[in-house]
Amino acid sequence: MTVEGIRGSSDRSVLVLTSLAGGPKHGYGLIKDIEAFADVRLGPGTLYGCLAKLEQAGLVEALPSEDRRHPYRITAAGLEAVRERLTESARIAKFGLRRVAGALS
Amino acid sequence: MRSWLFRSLGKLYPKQWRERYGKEVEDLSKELLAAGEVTRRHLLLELVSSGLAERVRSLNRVRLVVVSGAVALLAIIGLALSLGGVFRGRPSASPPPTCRIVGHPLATFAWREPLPTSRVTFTLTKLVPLPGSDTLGQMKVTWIKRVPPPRFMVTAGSAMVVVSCTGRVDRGTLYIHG
Repeated sequence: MTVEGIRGSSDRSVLVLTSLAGGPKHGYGLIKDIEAFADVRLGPGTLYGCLAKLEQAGLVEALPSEDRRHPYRITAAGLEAVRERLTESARIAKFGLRRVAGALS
Repeated sequence: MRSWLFRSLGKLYPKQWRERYGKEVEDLSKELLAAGEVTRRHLLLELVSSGLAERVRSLNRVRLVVVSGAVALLAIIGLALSLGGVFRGRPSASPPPTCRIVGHPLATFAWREPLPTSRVTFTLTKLVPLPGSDTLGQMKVTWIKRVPPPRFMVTAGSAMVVVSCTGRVDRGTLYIHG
């Protein structure tokens, strides 16, 4: 998955990348973090579906772990991808809010 | 949730995916359950749906088309079979062996199965021996959803008798009166 790839993907990938931008986390940490900042609760299957896609695209990578739980960390490509995606979202949000404000006034 | 259940659910996922992430998903699921963060039912549904999603995602385009086609074909066959069930109660092309003519224009036809009681409109045509005659006539049965009783028309050549069902349409016997 490239930057273009996550542009059209669901927001879940963006949520995972955003969470990992704050530091490496394993599955449970990711779920709790995403729930805290986005009020979205991902299930384990959904979360690892996202992680699998992102890892395959080279946007995240698994870190070695002593137990079976791998922490995941965002790669440089992942940071760039999520930065672009969030910038684009912010631009659309700003534009949309301006229009909505105009319609309400 | 027991390990055998996770193993069973794991089979929904593509093998490669399962080998890479299966244990992590299982551990995370158990952790969420232990922490009371998720109910067993939600977890089960989530694992099934995401497993199917991964399975679909793993298919390449050709296989996806083939699988989609097979699913569509199965759906069509299922639909056809279910509609066939609707019509199973109709008379066959030849009169049923238990058909009993009790006099013209009153007739009794044995029915092997109940007629459909709330289905879409359909019209059936069959040849039946005319009451009191050796000739075959054509019977049309029109059944309209939620508009009982059904109406029957028995025609022979230019003669036509429109009959209606005055009795209860039930398993076994259909009574029609002219």
